Amino acid sequence: MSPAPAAPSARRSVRRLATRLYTAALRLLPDALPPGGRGAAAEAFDALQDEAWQARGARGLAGCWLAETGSLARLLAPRPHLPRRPMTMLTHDLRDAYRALRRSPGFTLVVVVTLALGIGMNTAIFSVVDALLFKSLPYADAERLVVVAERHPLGGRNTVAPANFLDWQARATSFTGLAARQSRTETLLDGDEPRTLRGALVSVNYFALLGVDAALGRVFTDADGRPDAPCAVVISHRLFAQQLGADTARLGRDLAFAAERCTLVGVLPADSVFDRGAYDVYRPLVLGPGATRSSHFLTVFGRLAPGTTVARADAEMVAVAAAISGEHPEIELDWSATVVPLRDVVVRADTARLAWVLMGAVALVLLIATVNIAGLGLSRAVARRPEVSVRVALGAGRWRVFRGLLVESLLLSATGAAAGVGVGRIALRAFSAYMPAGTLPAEAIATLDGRALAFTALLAVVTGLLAGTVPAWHGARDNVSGALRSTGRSVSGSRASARLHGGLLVTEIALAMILVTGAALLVASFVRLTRVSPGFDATDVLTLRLSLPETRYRSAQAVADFYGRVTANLQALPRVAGAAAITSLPLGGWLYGATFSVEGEPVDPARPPAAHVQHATPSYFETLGIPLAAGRAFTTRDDARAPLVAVINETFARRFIPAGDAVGRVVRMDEFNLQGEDDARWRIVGVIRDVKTYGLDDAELATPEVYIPVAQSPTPSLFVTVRSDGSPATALVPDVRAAIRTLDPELPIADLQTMTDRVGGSVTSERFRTALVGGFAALAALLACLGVYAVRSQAVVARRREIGIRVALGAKRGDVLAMVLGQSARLVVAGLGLGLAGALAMTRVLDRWLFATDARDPWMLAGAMAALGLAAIAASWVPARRAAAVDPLTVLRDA
Amino acid sequence: MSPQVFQILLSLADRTLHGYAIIQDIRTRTDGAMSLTASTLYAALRRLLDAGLIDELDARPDDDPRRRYYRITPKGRAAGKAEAARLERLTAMARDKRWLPAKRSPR
Repeated sequence: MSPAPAAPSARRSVRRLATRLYTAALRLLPDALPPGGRGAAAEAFDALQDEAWQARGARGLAGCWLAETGSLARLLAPRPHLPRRPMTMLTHDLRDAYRALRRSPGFTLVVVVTLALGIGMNTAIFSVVDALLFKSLPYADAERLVVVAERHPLGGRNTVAPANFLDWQARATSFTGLAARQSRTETLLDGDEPRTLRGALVSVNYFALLGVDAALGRVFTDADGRPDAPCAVVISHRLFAQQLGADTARLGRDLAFAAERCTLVGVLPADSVFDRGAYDVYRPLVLGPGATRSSHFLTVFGRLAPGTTVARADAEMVAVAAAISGEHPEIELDWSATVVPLRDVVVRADTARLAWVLMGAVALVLLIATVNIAGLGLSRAVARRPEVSVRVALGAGRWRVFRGLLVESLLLSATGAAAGVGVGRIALRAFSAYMPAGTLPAEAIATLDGRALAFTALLAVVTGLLAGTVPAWHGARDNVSGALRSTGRSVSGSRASARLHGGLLVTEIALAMILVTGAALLVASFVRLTRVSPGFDATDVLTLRLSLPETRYRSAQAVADFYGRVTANLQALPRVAGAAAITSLPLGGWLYGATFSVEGEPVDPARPPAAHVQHATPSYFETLGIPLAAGRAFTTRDDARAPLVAVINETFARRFIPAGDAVGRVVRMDEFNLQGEDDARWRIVGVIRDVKTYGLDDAELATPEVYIPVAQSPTPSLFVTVRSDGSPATALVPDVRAAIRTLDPELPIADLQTMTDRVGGSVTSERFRTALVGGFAALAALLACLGVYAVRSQAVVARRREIGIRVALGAKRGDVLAMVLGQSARLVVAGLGLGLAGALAMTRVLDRWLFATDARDPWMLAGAMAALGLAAIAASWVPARRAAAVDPLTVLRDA
Repeated sequence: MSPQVFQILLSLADRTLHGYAIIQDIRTRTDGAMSLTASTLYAALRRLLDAGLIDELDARPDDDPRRRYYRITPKGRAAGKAEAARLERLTAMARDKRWLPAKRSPR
C-alpha cells in the first residue's frame, strides 16, 4: 500500500499527537530510561513512525503504534525488567519447601493432620454461622421479607387475629403484599394407616409472596380462596415422594383427609426450604367478614414495598393498629403491631448465640493448634540453623531465607486446609445428624459452598502466616558466623528461642483456659439441671397424642365418652398400672390459658389473672405420680351430671388464695362445660404439688394451673399417658395400639414416646451445646498439654549441658526434677492467669445458658484452673524426668 | 544476556550510534528478524549504562538536539565477547549432535 498523498498535514498532526502521547507515557517510567532518554526515545519513535509510514502506510503506522504500546505495557508492569521473576521465585520456594518437608515426614504429618482437623471444624461451623446470619434466606429477594406481628401489652410479639390481618391488608401501604399462615394438624387417610401431618392454612398469596412456585402443578390462585371453592391442597415434595411414590398421575386427583377429600393441585420444589420445614400439607386460608378479632393465631408475612424500610413499615403498622383499636372497643388496651425482619424471627437469638459460641470455640481450638505448630516450627528452625547458616554464607539474603521458611509454613497450611475441606464435610454431616431437631431453622442451609471454601482459604493463609512467622523470623535472623561456629554443638539453646517457646506455652494455656472454663460452667449447669425434680415420676410411662376429628366426633359428649372408654380399656390391659389423658404433658409448655376469678378474692377487672387450663381424666395425677397436697383427685363420679369441680396446683393456691384452705373455694372461669353454664363455677376439690410446665429450668415460681375433668369439659385433642406395672414402657406399645385401634381404626396415633424420653428431650439443646463446647474444650486442653510437652521437651534438650554440669557439680536428681517442673509451673501459672482474665471476659456470653450456676463462681474458676494446670504440669513431667536422667559424663563428653 | 542486549552491543562494537540508528542497524543485520521499539531500546540502554557496558558521548554530532549517542566500553566489549564465546560453545555442541551441518575444516 502506498501512502495517501492527499492529506499530509492531517497525517503529520496524527503522528505529532502519537509522539506526544508516547512522551507522556514515558513520564510514567522515570527509572526505565537513561538520563535524557525520554527525548531521545521520542525522537526514535518519531523516526520509526516515519519509516513505517513510508514502508507500509497506515497499516505500518498502526503496527508501529501497537508494537510500541506493547513495549510500554511490559515496562509499566511491576518489575518491568524482570517480568517473570516473581513466579519463578515462588516456584523455587515451593519446590524447596516441598523437599524440606519430604525430609521430615513425621513433622509434616502431625502438622497437616492437626490443621486439617482444626480448619475442617472451623469450616463446618462457619458454614452454619454463615447460613444463620449472613447468607440470604432461600426466598426470592429475602431481604425485603418481614414478619408483621401483633404486640401485646407486655411488649412481646403475638400471632395475629384474622380480622386484624384483613384490616392490615386493606390499609397498610408499606408492603407489596401481606400473607398469613395458620398451623394445624392434618390426618391423611391415603395409606394403610392414618397418618398425622403438620399442615398449614395459608392465604392464597402466600407462595407468591415468598417468591416460590410449584415444581409440579400450581400454587394457590385467588379462586382457591373463595369460601365456596372446592378444597385444594399443595404438598411438600418429601410427602409427595414418601406417601405418593412421586407419582405425577396423582396430581389433579383427590387426597383423602379425615375431614374431607381435597384435590392435589401442586407439589412444592424438592430439596427446597419446604422439604426441611415443618409443614407437609398446605390448604387455602379462607377468611370472611365474620373473622374473629379476639383470637390470635395467624403468622403474617409481608414483603416491603420498594423504598420502604423496616422502621418505616413498623411506624405505619403502629398507626394502623391504633386506628383499628379505636374502631373496635373490644380490643384490649395497649395492643399494637410491629414489623420485624424475617431473619430475626427465623433465627432465634439463642440459635445465633449458639452459632457464635461454637465459632469462638473452634477458633480457639484452631488458634491453640496453630500455636503448637509454631512451637514445632520453631524447634525445627532451631535444629536447621546450620543448614540455614550455610545458605546465608553462600549468599542467600535474610529475606530469601525468611521467605523460604514462610512458604514452607504456607504449603503446610494449604495442604492442611485442603484436607480440612474433607474434614469439614464430615463434621458438618455429624453436626446435622446429632443436633436436636429444630436447632437450625429450615431456612438456614449450611453447606460447604464457595463462601465456606473462601473462608477455608482465608484460614489457610492466616494459620500459615501465624504459625510460620515466628519460626521464619527466628530462623532467618540468625547470625551466620555464630551459627556456623556452633555447628555440631548444642545449637538449639539460644535464649531467644527459649523465650519464644515460653511465650507460646503461656499463650496456649491461656487460650485453653477460656474454653475449659466455659465448658466447666456448661457441664455444671447441665448436671444441676438434670438433677432438678420435674414434680412427677417419668419412669415406665408411655405417652401418645390423639386428635378426634370433628367430622366423626360431632358432639362434646362423644369426645368425653371416647376418652372415658379409651382410658378404661387401657387400664384393663395386662401390665398396665394406670392410664389417663391430659391436654398438655409436663415440660410440654403452656398450651392454653384462661382468665378467671376466685370467689371471695378481690379482682382487678382491667387485669384479670390467668391460669394454664388442663383437661384431665380421673387417674391422671396417679398415673404420672404427681402428689396431692390437699383434698382429692378427680373420680369417675365427676361427670357431666355432677357439679363442676377443679384441682389447682400449689402455685395457683399460693398466689390467688393466699389465706385459708383452697379446697372448697370456687373458681369462676368461662370455660366450656357440658352443663352449658356460662362463666361457670368450678369448685376446688384438691391441690396438687407443682409440676414443671415449660422445662426443667422453670423458675422457682411455677405456672398457676387449674385442672378440670375431661368428662365435664371435653376437648378433642389430648395426650394419653399409660403407666406400666414396672415392665418397660415401650413393651406396652403393641397392646396400646391395638386397644385404641379397636375403638377407632381410623384414628392416628401420634407422637408416641416414653415420658423419660420426653424429659430427656426437654434438655436436648442443653445437652447438645454442652457436649459440643465440652468436646472442643477437651480438644483444646489436649492440644495445649501436647504443646506443653513439646515445648518443655525442647527446653530440656536445649539445656542438657547445663543440667549435666549441675549434676556433675553435685545437684541431686530431685533438684533437677524440681527445677524443670518449677519452670514449667511458672509458665503454666502465667498462662492460667492470663486465661482467667480472658475467661472472665468471654464466659459472660454463656450467662443466659447457665442454670443455677454463676459464670463468675470462684469455685468453678478455681476448679477449671486447677484441672488444666495439673494436666499441663503432668504433661511436663516426662521431660522433667528425662532431665533428671541426664548423665553428666555423656553430656560433657559429647560437648 | 538477552538477545536484544547482545545485538545492541554488536551494533556498537565498531562505532558510536544514536538510538534510532541502533534500531535500524539491528534490523538490517538480522534481516528484520529483530525489530526493537523505541521504549524497549531505551530501557535496554538504561540497563547497559547502569551496568557500565556502554556509555553516552558528551558530544552531539548530529543536527537533532534530542539525539543521544552511545559507545561500547571495554567492559561491554568483554561481556559481548564472553557471550559470543558462550554461543559458539553452544553451537559446537549442537553441531556435535548433528543439529547443524558439520563445519568445513579450513583448507
